[in-house]
Amino acid sequence: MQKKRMWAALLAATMVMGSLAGCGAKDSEDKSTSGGKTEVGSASESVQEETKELDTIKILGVDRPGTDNAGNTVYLSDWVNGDSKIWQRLTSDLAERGIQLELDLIAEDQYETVIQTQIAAGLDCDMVNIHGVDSKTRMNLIKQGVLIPINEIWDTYSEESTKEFYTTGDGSVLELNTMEDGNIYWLSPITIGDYQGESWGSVKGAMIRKDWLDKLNIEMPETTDELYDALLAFQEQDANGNGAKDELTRASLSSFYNGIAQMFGLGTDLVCFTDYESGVVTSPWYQDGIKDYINFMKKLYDAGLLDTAESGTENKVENRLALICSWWAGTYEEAAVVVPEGQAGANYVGIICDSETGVSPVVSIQDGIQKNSNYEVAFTSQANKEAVGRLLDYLCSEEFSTLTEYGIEGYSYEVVDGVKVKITDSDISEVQLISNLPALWTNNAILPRLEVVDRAQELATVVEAGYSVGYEESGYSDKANVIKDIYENSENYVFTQMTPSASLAVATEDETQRSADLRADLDTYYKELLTKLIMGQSSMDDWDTYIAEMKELGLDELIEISQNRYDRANK
Amino acid sequence: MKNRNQYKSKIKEGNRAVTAILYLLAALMAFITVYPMYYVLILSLSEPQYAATMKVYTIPKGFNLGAYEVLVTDTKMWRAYANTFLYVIANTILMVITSTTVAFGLNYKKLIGRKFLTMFLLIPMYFSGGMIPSFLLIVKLGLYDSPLSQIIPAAFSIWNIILVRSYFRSIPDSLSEAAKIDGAGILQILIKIFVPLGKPIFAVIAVYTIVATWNSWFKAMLYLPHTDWQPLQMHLRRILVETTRTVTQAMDPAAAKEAAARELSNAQLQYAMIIFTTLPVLFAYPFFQRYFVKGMVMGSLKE
Repeated sequence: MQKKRMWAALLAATMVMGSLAGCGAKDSEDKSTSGGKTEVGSASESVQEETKELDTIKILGVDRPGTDNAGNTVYLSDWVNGDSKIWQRLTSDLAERGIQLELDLIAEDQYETVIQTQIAAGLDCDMVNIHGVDSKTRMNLIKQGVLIPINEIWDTYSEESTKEFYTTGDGSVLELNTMEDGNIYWLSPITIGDYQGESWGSVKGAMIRKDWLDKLNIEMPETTDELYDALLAFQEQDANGNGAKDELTRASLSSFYNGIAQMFGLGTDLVCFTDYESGVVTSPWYQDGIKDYINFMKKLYDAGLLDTAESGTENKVENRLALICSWWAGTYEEAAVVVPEGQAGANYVGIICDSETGVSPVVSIQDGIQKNSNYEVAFTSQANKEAVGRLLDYLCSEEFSTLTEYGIEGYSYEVVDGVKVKITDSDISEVQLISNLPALWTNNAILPRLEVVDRAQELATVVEAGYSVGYEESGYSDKANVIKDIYENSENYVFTQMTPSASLAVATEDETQRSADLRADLDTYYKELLTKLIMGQSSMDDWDTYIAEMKELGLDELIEISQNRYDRANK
Repeated sequence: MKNRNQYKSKIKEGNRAVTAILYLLAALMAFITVYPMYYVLILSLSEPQYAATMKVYTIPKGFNLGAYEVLVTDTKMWRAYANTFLYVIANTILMVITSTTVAFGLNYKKLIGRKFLTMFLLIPMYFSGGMIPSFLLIVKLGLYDSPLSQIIPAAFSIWNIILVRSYFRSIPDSLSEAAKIDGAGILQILIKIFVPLGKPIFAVIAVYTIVATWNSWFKAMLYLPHTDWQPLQMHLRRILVETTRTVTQAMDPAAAKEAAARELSNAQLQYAMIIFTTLPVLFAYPFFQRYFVKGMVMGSLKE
């Protein structure tokens, strides 16, 4: 009996222990496959024989998707595993520089989780997309020596032209990434806009339905009062012709970046705003046009002209949005609007109106040479610095920029009168894809983009977009002309930096922490306040109290932090 | 007094008005439960532009099977489907085996250290290690990026062990004792007496495991960085949340149209995917329903 009891105890204990942990032992044998990578991107077949001589750079990045004309979603891994000529060109270009890539591609939606868990477990790659990694973790990685200074690599291992690009050329915009120790630890994508030899960024702001103005015989509004009258007329005269008074203005109530605030000279950022001319950091709450802006928005709200949903596709698709805030050279907003059969398509045109207050309206614009802050890539201590130096040579080359933006000459683009023109009528999936988007290895994937935009060609493309949607003669020339006027008569405009943080130096650890602490309360407070003031739930009579409360919550300290960062970036 | 009693008995017998109200309430409950699913179905069948506006309430507006066409030709989706079936089958079998064997041991009254073993099981049931320690454990065990990370940790449930143990306790000791007299060993008692008698509870834990595994995605999110072995729910999540390139830069007209078209077709695709992933469980549910009820009752049993 005793023997059986012992036997039963042993059985139960074995089951418990075995089920809890013992099962893992089996997998220790599989260690070689753990953390296995879905794909290894190496050199193309033509250069595979040479792979033994190539230095491998192991990259952890995003498996970027794109959609071809047939509606199929194509991933970077499909290019890498398939017979993509564009990918093969990239690998052969790199092979010429003695480099091959080994890729660990993670689905986009999962990347943030994977990067964070892999940092916790220890990164095992040479190059990493650090999108989604917060400032504090980045600083810890630097302190631990996991990330290495890129500036030291281009100083020591890259060609002279590369060094010049990053120190005195267009790439010097990356100096904004300089950390407290004077080093740069990550590369950002760079966009260089060029209009007839001058640097120009993209414009984003209020856009009005020009086709509705024309339909109702209304002149393009030049003042905010005229704008109000036009928006009211759209409703009263049923501009969309559906029998309902549902023509609306989409302008966020809780944000200053809605196009209308800029008509009153206000900055775009939620709390702090960098004065484009003087470099003085302030806040829209301290600017002259703030009260008039709120009163104007309240007027729109009271008249039932505001789209309080603020987002979503419904009102846009159903042809109800009279005014939106978007990219002025974009034509994708119109493409989503369903107009009655037989009518020409929607036509949103950029609009700037003077307010009655005498404050100049501002045009929200990116820098001509813009460091984009959508994602960054860094190199780790296990990387072969000499190979990274050669990779940097390639990343700042015209060859890389052209391949990324246009693909291969004769395959995905042609040169007509010295201008690169993408081939849009191809049957090949990757050619269709690159005619719409940049190559899949960029834009938050594995390599930083170097985009060179010919603004004149961009405007020509904007005009052309209108030909196929009912504007056979003029195309979208109204849309293009507004932008062209800004480029050519810039002295008539006042500008504001679209993304103030793009002009600021990297925050120190203390600044990061303090800003996060301050903004947690400030953001909630001012968004609620702004919304309530516009909706009439809070009174403008208590203005001084609101400002005092925001000061108490640290608005001035936040401005000071941003001013210090601005000064460091521009010293 | 008499009248009141008569009135009471009338209600008990099934007054028509009360019956009608009860039917009405039941119909309302059914509507609240069924309509969201029906709503998703008609959205998935409507033309993309109507699906995007979500203003389809009774019957599909237009008829478009485009999203289903995309789904059935999506090899990644079928792979995810196969992965989920693999996890469901493996987890269910292993769950029944582990629950039965451990519960059988713990049910043995003269087991040495029985109380300690029970406590040893109960503590982690209430206090888990947390996400990061679990992640580090999985990495150290070599399960990271392996399909086994979806099977082994899910092959064992303390709750199910307790459920099975409670059921086994309801089996009279005299059966085991009679078997012993006939010369049966412990394994024979387990296999020839407890297993055949425990079929109802096995069905209950099997149903729980199937549903839990079918709906599981978070473990895959943490432990499977690559898509090869990810389950269907992870694929569904990807379709629901994945935003393709944010259109922030001016593009040529074709790109703009493509971006807008994707925005519209994605809306329809989401709904089609929800239907596609829910159908197997939806159809299986009526057959398993009674086991859910049984499971609840069994869980409430006290010694």
